[in-house]
Amino acid sequence: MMSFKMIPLFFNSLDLKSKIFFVLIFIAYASQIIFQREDWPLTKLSLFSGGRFETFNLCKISIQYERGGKSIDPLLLGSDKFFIIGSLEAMMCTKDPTINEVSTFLHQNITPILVRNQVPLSGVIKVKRRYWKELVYGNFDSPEVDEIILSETPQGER
Amino acid sequence: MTGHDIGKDKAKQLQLYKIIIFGAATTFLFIKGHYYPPSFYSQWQPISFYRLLDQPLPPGLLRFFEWGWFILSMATALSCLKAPQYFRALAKVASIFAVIYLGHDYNFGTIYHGTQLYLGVLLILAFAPMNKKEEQQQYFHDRWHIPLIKFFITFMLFGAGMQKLVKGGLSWVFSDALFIKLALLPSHTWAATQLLQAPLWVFEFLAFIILFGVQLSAPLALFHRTIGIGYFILWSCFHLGATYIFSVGSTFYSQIFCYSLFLPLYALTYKGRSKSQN
Repeated sequence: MMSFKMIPLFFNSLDLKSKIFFVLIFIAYASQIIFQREDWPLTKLSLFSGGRFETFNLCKISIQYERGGKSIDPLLLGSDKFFIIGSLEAMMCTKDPTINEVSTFLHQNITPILVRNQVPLSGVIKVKRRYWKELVYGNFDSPEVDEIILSETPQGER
Repeated sequence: MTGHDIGKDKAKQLQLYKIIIFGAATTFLFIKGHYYPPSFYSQWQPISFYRLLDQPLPPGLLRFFEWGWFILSMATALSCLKAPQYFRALAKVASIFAVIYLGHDYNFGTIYHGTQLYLGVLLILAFAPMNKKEEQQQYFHDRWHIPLIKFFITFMLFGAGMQKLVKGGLSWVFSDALFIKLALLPSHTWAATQLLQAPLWVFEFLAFIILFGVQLSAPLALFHRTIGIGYFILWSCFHLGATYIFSVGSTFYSQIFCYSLFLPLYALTYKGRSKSQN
C-alpha cells in the first residue's frame, strides 16, 4: 500500500534529470487544464468535452445512407465524421445553401468513402437538419423547426 | 520475495508494457486506420507547429510516416525481447513518426484526445531519462518510468474531471448536460436511443459516475495494486460504454492498452520462472 509519505521518497530517489523531466511534463499538462491554449498540441484533454459549450450550436446535421430501405450504419467514423458533418453543419446551419450546393458537397465527400468502404453506390443519402431555440431535457423529440430531408443519390448510380 | 526479485518484477513489468504499447496498441491503431477525406486539403487550418507548413503534408509523405510509425514500432517492440540496447533509439524515431502522423490527423496539429494518451506514453517510454541515482544494475535505471506513466495516466483522467469542473462546475452533473450531449449526436445507437427515453436522474447519475468515479478519483489507483486493477476495469468499461452509447469511436480503446500498466503483467512470467528455478 502506497502512502502519501512515499511521494517525497520517490521524488528523492530520482536524479536531477529525471526530476526535471517529471516536473516539466506535469507543468505542461496542467497548463492545459488551466489555460486550455488552443495552439498547443496536447490541448484536447478531456475524455468528454467539459461543460455545455457545444449546446450553443443548436442546429445539428445527421447523415444517413439507405439502400434497399435499410440504413447502413455507421456511414461515417473518426475523422470522416469530424470533417464531413462539421463542414456540413457549418454550411447548412450558418448559411442557407441551395440543394445543388449540398448535393455537390455530398458527391465530393461521401462518394469516395462509399467506394473506399466497398459500399455499392446504389443508395440514397439523407441529410437531416434539426433546430431548437433552446434545447433542454424534454423537448429533444420536438425540434422547433421541422426536419429537412435532402435526398441525394451518390454519383455512379444508374 | 527479496528486493532483488521485486526489482526484477518491475523490469519485467516494464518490458511487457513496452511490448503492449509499441506492439499491440500500435497495431490496433494502425489497423483501425486514420482516414483523410477529400476535404482534408481544402480545409487546411493549421495550429501549433503545423503553422510552419504552407500546406498539409502530401498524401505520399503521410503514408510514409504512417508505415514508418508502424514498422519502427514493431521493431521497437521486438527489440524489447531480442535487443534491448536498441530500444531507446528505435522508440525515439517511432514516437516522432507517430506524433507527426497522428498529429496531422483530425485537427491539423492538435492531438486528438482519443490518441493523446497513447502518444504521451510512447513519448515517455522513448524520452524519459534514465535514473542514474539508481545504484543497482543498469536494467533498473528505467524502472521509475512505471510510477511516472501511472502518474501521467491518473493525472490525465483527473485533469479531464478538473476541466469539467472548471468549465461547467457541478452543473455538469446536476443538470441535463449529459442528456444534451447525447441528444445532439448526429446519429444514435440502439443503446443511446433507449437511454434518451430515461428519466433525467439517470443522466445525472451517469454524469456523477463519470466525473467522480472515473475521473476525479483516478489518482486513488496509485495507492494499492488491487485498487489499480479495479480502476483498470472501471476505465475499460467506461470506454466500452462511451463507444456503445456516445458513438465516440474505438480509437479510445488505445487508452485501455495504456491502462494495462495497472495490471500485474509480470505475473505472466511466473510460470516460466518457477520452472527454471526448479
